[in-house]
Amino acid sequence: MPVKIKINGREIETEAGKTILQAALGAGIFIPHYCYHPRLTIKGSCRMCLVYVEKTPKLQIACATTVAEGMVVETENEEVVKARQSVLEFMLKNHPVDCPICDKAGECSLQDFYMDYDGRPSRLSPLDSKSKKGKRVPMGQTLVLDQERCIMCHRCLRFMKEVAKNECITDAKRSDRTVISTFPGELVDDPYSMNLIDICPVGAWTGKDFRFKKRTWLLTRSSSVCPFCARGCDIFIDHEKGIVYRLCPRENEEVNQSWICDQGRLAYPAINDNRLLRALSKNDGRLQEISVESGLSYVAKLIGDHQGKILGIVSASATREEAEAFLKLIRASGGEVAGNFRKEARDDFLLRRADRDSNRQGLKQLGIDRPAGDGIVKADLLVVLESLYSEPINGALGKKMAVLSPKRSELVESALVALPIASYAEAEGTFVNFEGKAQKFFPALELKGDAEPGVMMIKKLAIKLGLEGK
Amino acid sequence: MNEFPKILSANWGKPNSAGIETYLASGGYEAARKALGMEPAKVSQEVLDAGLRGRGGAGFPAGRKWTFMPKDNRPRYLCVNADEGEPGTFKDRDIMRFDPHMLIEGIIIACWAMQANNSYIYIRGEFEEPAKILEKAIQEANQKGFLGGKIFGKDFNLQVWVHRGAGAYICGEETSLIESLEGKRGNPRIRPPFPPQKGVFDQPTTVNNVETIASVPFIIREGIPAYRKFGTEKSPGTKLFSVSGHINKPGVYELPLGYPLMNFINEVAGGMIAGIKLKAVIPGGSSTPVLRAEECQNVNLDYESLAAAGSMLGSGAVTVIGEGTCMVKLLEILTHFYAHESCGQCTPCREGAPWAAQIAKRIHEGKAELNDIDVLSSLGANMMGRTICPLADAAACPIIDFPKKFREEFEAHIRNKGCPQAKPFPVEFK
Ligand SMILES: Cc1cc2nc3c(=O)[nH]c(=O)nc-3n(C[C@H](O)[C@H](O)[C@H](O)COP(=O)(O)O)c2cc1C
Ligand code: SF4
Ligand code: SF4
Ligand code: FES
Repeated sequence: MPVKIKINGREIETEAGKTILQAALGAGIFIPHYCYHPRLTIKGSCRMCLVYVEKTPKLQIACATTVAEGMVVETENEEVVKARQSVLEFMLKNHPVDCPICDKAGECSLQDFYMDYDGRPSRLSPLDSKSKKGKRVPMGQTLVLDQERCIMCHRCLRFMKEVAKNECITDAKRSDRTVISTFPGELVDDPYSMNLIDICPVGAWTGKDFRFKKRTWLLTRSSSVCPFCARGCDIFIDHEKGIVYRLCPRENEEVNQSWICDQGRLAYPAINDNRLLRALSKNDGRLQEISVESGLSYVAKLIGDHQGKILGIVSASATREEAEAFLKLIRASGGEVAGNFRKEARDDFLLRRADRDSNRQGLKQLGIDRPAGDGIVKADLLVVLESLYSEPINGALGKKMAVLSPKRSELVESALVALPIASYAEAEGTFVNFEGKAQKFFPALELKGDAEPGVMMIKKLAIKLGLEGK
Repeated sequence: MNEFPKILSANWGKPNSAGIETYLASGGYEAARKALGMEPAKVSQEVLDAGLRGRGGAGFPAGRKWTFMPKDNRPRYLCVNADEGEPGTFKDRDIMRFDPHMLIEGIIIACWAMQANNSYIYIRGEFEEPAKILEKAIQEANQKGFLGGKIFGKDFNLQVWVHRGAGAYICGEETSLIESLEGKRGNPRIRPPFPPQKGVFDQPTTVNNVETIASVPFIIREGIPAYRKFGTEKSPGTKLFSVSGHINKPGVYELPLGYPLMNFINEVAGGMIAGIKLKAVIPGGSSTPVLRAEECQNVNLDYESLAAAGSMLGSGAVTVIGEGTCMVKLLEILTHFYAHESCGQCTPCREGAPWAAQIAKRIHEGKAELNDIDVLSSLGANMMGRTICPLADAAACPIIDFPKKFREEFEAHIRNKGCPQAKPFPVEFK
């Protein structure tokens, strides 16, 4: 049922049952908030979202007050502004204000809201002490908690309980001694635990791998899609000077909501390290760098020499465009194409799929549905298109092999010739996820070394083979 | 005790007053038998018409609260609040120690009115003795068939359970009590939903104070006019007052509501200790606003009179403060209590109470400037009305009131660079 309310004099139409905060955000009116998170239950404790509602004796929290027809709300009047300043003052009372060494600096809503809504000097007397808590509490394999920076919004507690379904943390002690903590003797051990770093509005939850590595404002944020399983979670690649420092979830209601799994998040070093930067060819049993042009000629010659006895193997995490071009090339050369798949026992309850490839469905749509298997024995030449996370292929080592790969892999080591191609982070392409949802993405980084996008490399091969005009 | 009408404390002086035979001899469980012969809705209506208001602090009409329970098929619960953790309040303890059956009978009647088949008595963890007495009384009532199945031949069964708390004042707050009862950390819940919609185990729940429930049997047995004979028009009946502080006879007294505060102090409770003069009174438990001696003169102990004087009847815990008490020290102690007991969820409460406690301590120690008094008051103002539960309001109240009502004393601490008195209190308590 539609409901009309007025916020700051502006008439807004919203739905019955919505809160003032939802209605305001929906209409582009920002009300600062900490404990509210659209994917978690309402907590109502931070008190940052206090607003004035006509005909109520005291300020109301916008996150927990449902709209009613004709409601009149003020989000910026003097009383509200003062209340907000006071909440910020309280939050900073025991906060260490160690922003210069905080990983969250630059994307911390405590910093931001202080600058936007408060900005007053501290009234804390130097004679009054701040509450001392754990500054670097190891919380698990990947996480460190700074209890002093915590503003007690309980987002982390609600995330673990409601989303990860693993109530492994709690608030312990009381008053300004309250801390977020695991249960005695236990650690956080959960495949989604690193989402805590993102939903924590301050720098309390930090990731071991990112701690003290980079000031966030130096990072460039590019949109992409996670290649680590058939879900294809939407992600941000955060990088500087061609180096990726972290991956973060990018919201998509239909795919991954606001989350990614820890494994996908921690897969980024493969973008930075051990990449194939030059074309290589085997000479006297050793790989030597050659020009891409010579590499292309070599591959074209091998394909030409083995017409009809070629098996193409494509990673199911290659893009749909790469797979399509590859299939066309191998078919035109009289060969067959099989897939290279990664597989796990089962899907989990949230995001992770047993199919560990991001374009499994895309391959299926092209008719590539089975692994190479026996085909490897029968073929005289293997042409392999790898992706960043593809695994070695059983029985391939020792075969005559040309490899197009973004990484210096086991297959590259045993190939006659290898051509460097871009990873998903440097290429444009599409992954079709397990539900058939095609997600297009664009390059986040510049090409590395002599690498070219897989599609481009295949096109050049086709030209060399006379299958395509220039 | 005194010569006033006794409803709640009628049996207290008798030998073995906690035993079921004593209670039965005084007409015990007749009210329950009578209630179970009535329509449940009629029972709530009687309690409402008798004018019984909640004795836990807020004074909400008990009969009305019961009608908030939805009429659906879900299991429903009555939680009896026996947490009694507020400084100065120690009345429920005596009901449980001296006449536990009056509480149990009240529970039977309330549960019948609400058609609840289970009741939990959430009792403060430190109350080991009252808990044991209650357990024994419940056993006795079970043996007599007053609890269990087919009570008084009716198709109605009722179990009563004693649940001991783990030592947090906040667990007396009704939603925190519910969380704690469920085995969780006692953090108050945000409302709505209110307990009648979603209480214990997410089922309809009513939370009532021990004294509220213990007042019910008399109303049902003796009728509305008998109850209304005591007290005032708007505050009918009697109430237990627990008086402490600089008073000759601290203890628990049952008085008709509307009794003059000064008569209570000077006559009933034996007057000021060592003849010192009255300085101030906190009339309804540490969560209610303090009254200066001159503000107490024409005040009566009922909901309306105390509200008119700017305070509250609260839980009926009268803290008597004698001349020679350092109000800065008293504020420090009170604020320290709230600072210790805040559950830590809400920003203003978690940060405000301990901060205020630090400042009050500094003022008392002479390490403060005039400006600190203003900071202190503003912290209280910024806590007031801005949290999930009213603990922050309770904490804020003295933080705002003390510097306002005793400004001169606060300023003297600043000028003097410390407490001007040799001792913060006129009398040493043992
Ligand atoms: C911090 C806090 C502590 C409380 N402690 C108690 C208590 O110990 N006993 C009690 O009966 N009510 C206590 N209350 C009030 C309860 O929340 C609730 O209002 C009361 O139990 C309702 O009973 P009544 O309607 O019979 O008064 C407390 C409230 C707050 C905010
Ligand atoms: S650690 Fe972060 S997310 Fe958790 S309560 Fe503290 S501020 Fe909120
Ligand atoms: S007001 Fe204080 S005690 Fe009550 S819920 Fe908030 S933090 Fe907890
Ligand atoms: S966002 Fe509303 S109280 Fe925290």
